[in-house]
Amino acid sequence: MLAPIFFFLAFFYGYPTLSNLYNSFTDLSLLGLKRGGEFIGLRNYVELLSSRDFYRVFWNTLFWLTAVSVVLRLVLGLALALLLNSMTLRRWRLATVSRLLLLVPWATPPIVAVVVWRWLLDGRQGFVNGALQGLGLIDRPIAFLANVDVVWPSIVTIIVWNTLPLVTLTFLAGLQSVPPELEEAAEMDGAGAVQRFFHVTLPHLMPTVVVMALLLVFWTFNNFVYVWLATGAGPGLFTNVLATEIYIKGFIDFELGYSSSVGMVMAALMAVLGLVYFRFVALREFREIL
Amino acid sequence: MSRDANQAVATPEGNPDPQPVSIRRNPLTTAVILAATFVVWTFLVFPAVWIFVGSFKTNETMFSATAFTFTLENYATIFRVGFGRFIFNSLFICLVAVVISTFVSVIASYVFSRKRFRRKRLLFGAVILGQLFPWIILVTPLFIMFARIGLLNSHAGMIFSYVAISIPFSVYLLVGYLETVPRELDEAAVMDGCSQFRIIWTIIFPVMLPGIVATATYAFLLMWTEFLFALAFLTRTSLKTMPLGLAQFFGEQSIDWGAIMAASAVTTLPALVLFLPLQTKLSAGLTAGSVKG
Amino acid sequence: MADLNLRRVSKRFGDVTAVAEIDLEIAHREFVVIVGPSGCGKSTLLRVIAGLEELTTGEIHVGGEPVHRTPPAKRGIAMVFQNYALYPHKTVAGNMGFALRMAKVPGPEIERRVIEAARILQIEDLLERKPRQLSGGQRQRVAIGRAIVREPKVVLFDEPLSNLDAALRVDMRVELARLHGSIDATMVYVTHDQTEAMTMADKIVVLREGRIEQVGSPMTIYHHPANVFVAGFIGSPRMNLLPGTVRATADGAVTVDVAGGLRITVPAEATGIAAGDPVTLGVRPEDLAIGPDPQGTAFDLDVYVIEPLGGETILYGQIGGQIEERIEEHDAGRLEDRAGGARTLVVKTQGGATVRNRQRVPVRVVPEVCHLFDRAGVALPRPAGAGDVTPPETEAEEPERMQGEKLR
Ligand SMILES: Nc1ncnc2c1ncn2[C@@H]1O[C@H](COP(=O)(O)OP(=O)(O)O)[C@@H](O)[C@H]1O
Ligand SMILES: [Mg+2]
Repeated sequence: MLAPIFFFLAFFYGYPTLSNLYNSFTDLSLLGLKRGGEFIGLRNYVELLSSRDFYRVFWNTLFWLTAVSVVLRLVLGLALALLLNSMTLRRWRLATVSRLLLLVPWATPPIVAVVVWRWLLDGRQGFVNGALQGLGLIDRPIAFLANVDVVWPSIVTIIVWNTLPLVTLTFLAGLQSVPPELEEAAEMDGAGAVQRFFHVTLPHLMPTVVVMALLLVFWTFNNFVYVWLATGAGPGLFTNVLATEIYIKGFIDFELGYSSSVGMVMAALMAVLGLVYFRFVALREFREIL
Repeated sequence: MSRDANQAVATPEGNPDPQPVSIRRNPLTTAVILAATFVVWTFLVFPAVWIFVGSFKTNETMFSATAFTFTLENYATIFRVGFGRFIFNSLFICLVAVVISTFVSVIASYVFSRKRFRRKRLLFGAVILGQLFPWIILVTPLFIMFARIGLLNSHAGMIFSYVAISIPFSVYLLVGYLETVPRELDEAAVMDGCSQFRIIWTIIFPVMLPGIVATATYAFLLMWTEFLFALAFLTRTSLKTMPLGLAQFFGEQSIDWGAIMAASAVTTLPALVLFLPLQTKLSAGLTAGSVKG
Repeated sequence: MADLNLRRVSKRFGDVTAVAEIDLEIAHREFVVIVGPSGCGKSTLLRVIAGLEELTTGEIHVGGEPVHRTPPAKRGIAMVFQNYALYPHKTVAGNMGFALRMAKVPGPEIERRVIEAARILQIEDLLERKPRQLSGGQRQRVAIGRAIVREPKVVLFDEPLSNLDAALRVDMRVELARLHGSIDATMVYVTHDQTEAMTMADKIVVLREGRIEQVGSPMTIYHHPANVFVAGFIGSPRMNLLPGTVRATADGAVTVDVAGGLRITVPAEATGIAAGDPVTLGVRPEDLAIGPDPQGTAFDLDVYVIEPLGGETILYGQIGGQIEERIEEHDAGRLEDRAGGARTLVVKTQGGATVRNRQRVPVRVVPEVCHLFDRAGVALPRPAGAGDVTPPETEAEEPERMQGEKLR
């Protein structure tokens, strides 16, 4: 019964990956699809590894797009989950409302999220500029998405806004699965709130945090939409990341062969992470059926 | 602060404290927590609210925080330039793809969950790792492939792609859900004389319907908001989906913010409506395993 | 006729042999209980009979017909699952009638049979409810109803009572016994609870690691356990197993030295046993009595826990006397194991406790109620008269305790 499904998936994932691998050894051009590419061995990879631009792209992807945004989301997500789980919010009957409001950014499609933030961060009349000027914090408006000093933090803000709710709700579910007896036992043992957090809550939450971190890395490292729609990899190519590089090289510069080699570098990295995920998360989760 | 410390000392040991330490009310803490909550609320909701507010504003007052002139002109504009077509395209592609992908995933997840067969670990791993596959590297080869077999600029090509990207996580979610359905239920059905196919559709399907609905909704949202494949594979305007249509409003010279806000509102509303009933299921389901074991 | 025959039935999962070469004959309308510790292959055996698992080797016959290649629904076998496995989206009537619908039985006939089964199980008022609106006991009845509505030749039960609370379990036990009397089906019942086995079975099958240890009527199993395992598994509290050494053998009698300095001559056939061999002396807590013995076969017991149950009292104690020297005689490998066993003794007495904690009391052992097991744990055959006297199949049993008292 599975055979047709596998055939189908192989057609969509397997064959393109292999053809990508092959293309990465050619000088295939988008304009010469019919003619096909000439086999040029490792030349694309050599070019890629000797290009300073590539290292900038790589650094952008690794540090700004992935590391900063993932760490930020984990920390803020945990803080927010603790906030939503606090007795104070429950006593004030704000916990449920907060959870519902949390859904709003999550339900917002990424493209819409970018759109509205582009409006908020508009370099001349945007709301954020207006607010900052009104508060007297800045004299002249800042072009948030065009100024190299602030463009990355701006992109990260958009990503965090859009995806923080998922992280928070996941952590919240984790927090609520901490057995109350455990907290109570720790309290009987004389642990204060902070000690309870570090000795009971956090260890219980740790597997969730690790899985979430892995998933976020996957989702973000490969992501094309945020950077592309927010800045189009600009100003210039300042915010170019691997995903946008693949697109630009392939569909704007028409160098499909080179674009494929960038894709293979990305795929190799993801494969390693994917195996880690499979080995330590998926295998354990589905222990019973495997 | 000092009063609070005194209070703690004043509670003699062994005396039953009517209120556990964790919920003792400290006005300062409460104030900080409430303030933080409102800051968070603002950050979360404000941008989304402005989509809807902005969609009813004229372009003159668009960037003003206070001035507000109500207008429906933005909505008129987007439908005048053919946004209705994009809505139809999106609905058509997503609905067809969701039905196919859910149908296929239900069968696949049943087989993975209930059958023993060789290489299962490998095959299952391959399917769920599809969730983590960097789509961007598929774009170029698929573009070439689609160009060859005539799937570029076609709804069929988009449906094909969307079914393929949603199967891995649909299977993942459904297998997780099936694990909560006792195997004895299938076995009882076998004893009662059901065929394989009957078991899936008359026993398992109704029992896991909530899980299937959740999974299908999630798949729909994924497709509804998908941008990359649509951007690469659809260049003819009459075939484009809503996210592409939305991006179109970012012209080279001028940006029609009013139209963009209206289009964003139309794109977001279905997502928001579908998301509300889903919330608990999804956040619990996505990392269920990590919490479990 | 619906007799069920298993011939050399095996089931392997990869390297694990869950069921090994089972031969079993079950007569028409017999109530057979399969017992054994958890993981011993009871469920697997049942599922193989049902056809839910394909057997690795062997044959299964129902009423003389081979069924091991027949699909489960066509074997004339019904099954009651431990967690009931009721279809949550169907009503009680829908659940019970489903198999008949699958078999294309006409609607009015289905209705008639469902109502009939519901009447037998006293769930007529529940027919329109959904499973989630039922209590545990009611769900159990529906699950049984679903099985019997098909008028199967054989009904299989996999620990059907283990999800019920203790009181309900006793009620359902009686109910099942009544049901067995009123329908024309052979019943195979799996449990790890030896009380269920003893109270309900015509025939008990004791299973261990996929193999049959012993088959027999409850009283045979109780009075003539084939080996240490069966002896320890059936009976509550567990049979006391004391390490000992053969002193002398005679025709139909073996003299044994056991811990605590006791020397006792047990009526048993001394096949393959010689003086100096290690043996295990088994004696059930209910076969022991407090009080001095004129013939001198008594332990000194240092009581450390007393459990008064009202009608009876259970004493836990340590055997006094020179234990250590005795232990040295036994093989070193099982030393610790035996030492632990050697020290403790459980005694079940009638009535309230007359003994106080920390007291040393004499415990009387009657040789006729003792069991002997050789080095490999196999029972030395007891004379037919020992313990139970009468062959169990024919006559109602008189509890052994009484016999013991008479012998005194
Ligand atoms: N589907 C299976 N795959 C592998 N091993 C199994 C399977 N089912 C049962 N086993 C093994 O077979 C043995 C007997 O299991 P089971 O019949 O469930 O025992 P019981 O019902 O007596 O507790 C156990 O060791 C168990 O691990
Ligand atoms: Mg079992």
